[in-house]
Amino acid sequence: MKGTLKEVAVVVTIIAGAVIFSGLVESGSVRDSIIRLCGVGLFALSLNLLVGYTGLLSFGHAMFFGLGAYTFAILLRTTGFGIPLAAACSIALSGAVAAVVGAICVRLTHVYFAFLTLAIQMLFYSLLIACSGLTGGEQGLIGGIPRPKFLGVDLMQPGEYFVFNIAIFVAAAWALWRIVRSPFGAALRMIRDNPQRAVFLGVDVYRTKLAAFVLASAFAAIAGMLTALYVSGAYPNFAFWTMSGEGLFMIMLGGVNGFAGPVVGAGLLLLLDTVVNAYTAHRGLFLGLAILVTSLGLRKGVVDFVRDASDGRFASERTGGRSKERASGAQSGLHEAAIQQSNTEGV
Amino acid sequence: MRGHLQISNLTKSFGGLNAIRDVTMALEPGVRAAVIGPNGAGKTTLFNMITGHLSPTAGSIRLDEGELIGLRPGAIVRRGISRAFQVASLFGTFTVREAMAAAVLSHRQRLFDLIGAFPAPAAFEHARHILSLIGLSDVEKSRCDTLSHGDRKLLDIALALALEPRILLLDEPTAGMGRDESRLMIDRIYRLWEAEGMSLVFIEHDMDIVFGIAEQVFVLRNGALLASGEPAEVRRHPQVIEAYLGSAT
Ligand SMILES: Nc1ncnc2c1ncn2[C@@H]1O[C@H](COP(=O)(O)OP(=O)(O)OP(=O)(O)O)[C@@H](O)[C@H]1O
Ligand SMILES: [Mg+2]
Repeated sequence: MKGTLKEVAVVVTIIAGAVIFSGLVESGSVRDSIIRLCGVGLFALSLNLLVGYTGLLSFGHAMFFGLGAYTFAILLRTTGFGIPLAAACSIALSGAVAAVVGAICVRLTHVYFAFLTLAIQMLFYSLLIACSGLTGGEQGLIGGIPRPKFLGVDLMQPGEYFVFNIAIFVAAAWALWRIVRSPFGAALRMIRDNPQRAVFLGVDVYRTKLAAFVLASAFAAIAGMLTALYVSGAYPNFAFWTMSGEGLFMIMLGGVNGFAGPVVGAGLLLLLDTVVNAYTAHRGLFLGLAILVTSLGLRKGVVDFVRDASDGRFASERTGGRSKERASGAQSGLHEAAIQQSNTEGV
Repeated sequence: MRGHLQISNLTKSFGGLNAIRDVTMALEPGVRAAVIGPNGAGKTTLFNMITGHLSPTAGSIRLDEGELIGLRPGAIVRRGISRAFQVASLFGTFTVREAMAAAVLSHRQRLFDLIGAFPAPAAFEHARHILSLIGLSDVEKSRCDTLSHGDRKLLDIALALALEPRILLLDEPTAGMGRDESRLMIDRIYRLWEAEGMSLVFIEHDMDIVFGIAEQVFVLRNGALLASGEPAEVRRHPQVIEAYLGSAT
């Protein structure tokens, strides 16, 4: 109860901070970057519910980012729906599709799960391209998305639009934070650490994984909607496999061992993108280099690295062993999530 | 709390290998029973079938007249059979008391709660009670992957106990332990049995331990039941002496 009050206070403070910030800062580009981060950051956070917390390495998460974005955009463009109703419908549809896709996929583990999610995402991508009457095909939904006023909020006002993004992001992140700290979150970590043992403790592994898949997809849909509003459209690359790959990269960059790691990773990637695009056209080359440096050089996410480094500096003598342990735990990071299930044959 | 386990004509083949052949055995509620036999005799395979991890090729396993074969492991757990593993099977990133609290919540069917905080005080309390019973209170804040071998085995048993089983299956609880450590382990298991009153079935290689605490002994060899009965009877069984005790001592 006390914890909840504190969390509410943090959420309110951040949103109030956003209100003040939007009043003070006139620069559109800073605001735009933060708004963009809200969308991609939430996408990475939602993916980490699967990758980091459940040990499900999904390569198809962008499908739900795309599904949320397209549904939202299409509803706003073609129906008289307001933003809340269009958002609710998009979340519901994404959740329903995730329930079906998840029902098939979460039965599989390891690389089979990864490939099946990838395959279904490619199918979805092809559908987006094929149904050009509805989706605009290769071009995507161009021509803008209306932003009707709702509940006294006018998203045509840059200040209100900025605060709206922060508020949605913070609320969604808070919900995820609560979920990973709930008994359900503990069940996810049990499945990640040792699915076999979880089964023998009476955990319904299939149902729990499926629920995680649906939840993560619903949050990805919200991220997709924020992004669709931001770019005022929806494009096939939202649901392309490279988007899923970028999500994984953000998680890797930030680290899986802290809740906020993926958001930091998303921020770093956006920053990297901005810098790289300003100087060169070889974006892929620099992203590749960044991946090499984090996975081979740091061998863990940036957040993990900073945390371990400060641990080492402040307590190197007393807890040298302990911090080394944590470093090696973090090292395995993403890999661990993917291959953890292989050490369960000791029955 | 009943819990009569009747295993009848149980057979399991892996391809051409008969890991368990035509085994029939009965366990009364509250009994302390040992399953012994040389390596590869089929002891773990027997446990795997009772707990639903493997499905038998033939035969039946009944708990108070209810057939267990065909049930999923989770359903068998809910009927009151839980197990600890030959190689302790834990949750590496959990602390000891978190893992216990999670097991307690699972038993109470409270793991599907997305709103509440983990671990809630109620679950914690019960978790710590079991930890103190089994003697792990002093490491309750340690992470599972930092525990010593002995503590890992103890926690593995404690997790199984969190499910308040009517029948507790222990697969070599003293595996990899020295003599003193084994004694301590057995002592603790005995005290647990006294406190909780469940049936206890354990696989064990050390004959002193077996004859020290078991009321009933089942001897497996090459998948078949060679002998069964009270320890004194089994000890005198000529084929047991020849096949197992002779070579073990
Ligand atoms: N899943 C399996 N697939 C194929 N063969 C198996 C499987 N599990 C067990 N076996 C075989 O069945 C036989 C019995 O194995 P089991 O593990 O039950 O023996 P055990 O009595 O527990 O031995 P130990 O004392 O070494 O633990 C062995 O020959 C083993 O190789
Ligand atoms: Mg064995």
